[in-house]
Amino acid sequence: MSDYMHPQRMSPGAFFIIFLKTLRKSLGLFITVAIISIPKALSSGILGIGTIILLCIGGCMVLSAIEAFLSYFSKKFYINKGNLIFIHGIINRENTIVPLDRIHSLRTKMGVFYRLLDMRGIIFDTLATKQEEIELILDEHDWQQLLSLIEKEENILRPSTPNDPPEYDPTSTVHYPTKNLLLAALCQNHLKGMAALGSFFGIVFGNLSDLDENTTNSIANHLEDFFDGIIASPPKIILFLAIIYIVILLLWIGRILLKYYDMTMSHSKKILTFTYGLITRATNRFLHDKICTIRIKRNILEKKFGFSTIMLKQAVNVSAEKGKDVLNLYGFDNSSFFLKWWLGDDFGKFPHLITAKSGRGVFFHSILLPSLIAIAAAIIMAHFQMYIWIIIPLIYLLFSFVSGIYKMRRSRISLYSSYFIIHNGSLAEIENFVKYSSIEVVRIRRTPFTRWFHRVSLVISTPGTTFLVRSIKEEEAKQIYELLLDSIR
Amino acid sequence: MTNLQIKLECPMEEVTPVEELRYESIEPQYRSVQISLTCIGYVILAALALFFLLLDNSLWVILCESAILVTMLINLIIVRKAWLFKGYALRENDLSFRSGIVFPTITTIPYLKVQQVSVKQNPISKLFNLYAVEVVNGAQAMASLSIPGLTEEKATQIKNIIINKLRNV
Repeated sequence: MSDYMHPQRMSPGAFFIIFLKTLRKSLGLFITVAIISIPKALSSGILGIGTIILLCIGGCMVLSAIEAFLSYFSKKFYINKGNLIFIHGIINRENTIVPLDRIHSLRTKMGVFYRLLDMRGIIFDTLATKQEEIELILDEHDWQQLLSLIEKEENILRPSTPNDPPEYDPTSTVHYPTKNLLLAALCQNHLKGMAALGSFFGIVFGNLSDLDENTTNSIANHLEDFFDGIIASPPKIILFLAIIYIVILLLWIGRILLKYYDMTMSHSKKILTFTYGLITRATNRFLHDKICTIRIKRNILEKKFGFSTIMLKQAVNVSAEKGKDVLNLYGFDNSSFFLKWWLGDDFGKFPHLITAKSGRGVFFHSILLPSLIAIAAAIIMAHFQMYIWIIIPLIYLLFSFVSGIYKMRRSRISLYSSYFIIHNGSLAEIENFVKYSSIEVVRIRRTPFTRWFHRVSLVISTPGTTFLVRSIKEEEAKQIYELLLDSIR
Repeated sequence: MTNLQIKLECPMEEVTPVEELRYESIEPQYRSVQISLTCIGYVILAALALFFLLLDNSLWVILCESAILVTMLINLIIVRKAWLFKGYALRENDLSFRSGIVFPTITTIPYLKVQQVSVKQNPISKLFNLYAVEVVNGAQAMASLSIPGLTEEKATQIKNIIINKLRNV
C-alpha cells in the first residue's frame, strides 16, 4: 500500500497504456515505411512482402517499447507538505512542484486503452496558461488512495473555504433593441467586413480547381476584360470601389446581425448572462470574479449617437469553449452600469492616485513601419514611372501620422484606489478598466533611447489580456510599478 | 505593507523598492553554458551552409562561413555582457528577474500569482552542474519566468522560498 509520501512510479499498468499510446503514434511511421518498401519487395513475392510487414511491425513495437520504457521509468511523483511533486524528463530532467491548493480541477480520462486495463488518466489543472501537462496513469485502487490523500491535504490547507459556484439568481433582464445594434454596426470600421469578403473569395478560389480548364479560362478572360475596361476610366474605378465598399458594408452588418441579433442580458450580483444570435442562439456567462478587463471604446460616430462598444474579457483558461472568454457588446449606452456592477461603489468616487502619460515615443513607434512601407512603395512606383500613383503611399503616410498623433495623445495609465485604467486607441478612444487583483506579471522595459529621453515601457499582464504602455517617464513608471505590485496584495 | 528584499545569505536586510534592489548575479559557469549553446548552434549553421553551398561554388562558401564566424564572435561578446546584466531578486511578496542588453527589462511576479514551480536541468547545464528555476503563473503573456544558471543549493533555496511564500499568502 502506497502512502505517496516518497517518489514513486505510476501503477504498473501505466507502462502498457504508454506503450499502446506510443505504438499508435508510430503507426504512421510504420505505414510510410511499408508503402516505400513493398513495391521493392514485389519481385520477391508474398513471402518478401510478408517479411517487410513483419519487420515494420517488429521495428515499431521495439521502438514503442523503448519509448514507453523510458517514459514510464523516468516519471515519478509524490505528495509532500501539500505539494504535488512530479519528476520527469529524460534529456531535460525536471522537478515540477504544484501546490495542491493551486489545483483548481482534477480531470480524469478513460479512453479505450485505459478501459482495457481498468486504468485512469489523471490530469491536474491549475490556472496557469502555460502549464506542464501532468498526467498520472493509475489503477482504480491507487487513484482512490491518491484522491483521498489530496482531499486530506487540501482540508489541512483550506479548512473552511467552500468554493461553490455562485447561484444563478437573475435580478433583472435587459433586452437590447435591434435598432441600436444596426446603428452601432454602422458606427464601426466597416472594413472589418473585408474578413467576410475574404472568406467568400477563399471558398470561391478553393472550388476553382473543381472546374474544368475551359470554364476556368473563360472566367479568367472575363475578369481580364472587366478589369481592362475599368482601369481605362477613373470614374469606373470610383464606381467599382463604391460597389465593393457597399458589399463590404452589407457583409459587415449581416455578420453583426447574425451574431448579436435579439440580445438579452440577465444580471445578478455575481453573474451576467447574455443570450444572442439570429440563427444560432448562443449563451455566454461572465462571473463577477472571473472578468479581468472591461474595455470601453468610443469613436467619433459612437460619441455622436451616445453609444459605446463594450468588451468583457475573462481569463482565457476560465472558458472551456473557444471564443467564449470575450464578448463585444455593440450599441450600448450604459457603460457605467457594467463598471459599477464590476468595480463596485468605488467606481468614479475617488480621484486618481497617479497618471502617467506617454510621450513622443508612441508616435515614432506607430509611424515607423508605415513610413518604411510608404517609402518602399513610393520607390517602386517611381522606378516604374507611375508618378501619379505615389499619391497613395503619401495618403497612407499622412493617415499614419494623424493616427500616430492620436495614439500618442490618448496613451496613458491612471491608477485609482481599487482599479486602474489604461487609455489607448488612435481614432477611437479606448479605456481598459482592470482590477489590481487581475495583475499576474508586471514588467518594466528600457529602450536604447532611455538614457537620453528617460522614458520606459510598462507591461502589465492579466489572465486575459496584456497591456503595453509605451514611452512613460522613468520616474513615474517606477512609482506605478511599485504601486501596482503593492496593490495586488 | 512592507516588501523587504530577501537575501539568500542574510534574509530581510532592508526595505527595498524594485529600482533599488540588489540583483543577485547568476553563476559564472552559466557563461560557459551559453557559450557552448551558442557555439553548437553556429557549428550546426556553418555545417548546413557548407553542405548546401558546396553544391554551388566555393566563393559563396567562404563568404557565408565568414559571415557566420563574425556573427558568432559578436554573439559570444554579447553573451558575456548578457550574463553580467542577468540577475534575480526576491522580496517578501514578489520575485524579480532582470535581463536584456538592447532592451533591458525587469519582470516581477507576485508569489500570490504563482501556479507552479519547476527546477530544470538540460544536458549542457548538467555538464556544469547548473539548474534553472521556472515559475509559472496564470498570465496570458509572460506566463513563465525562468531563472537560469543556479547551483543546486540556490535553486532549491529559491524553490523553497517560493513554495513557503505560497503557503502563507
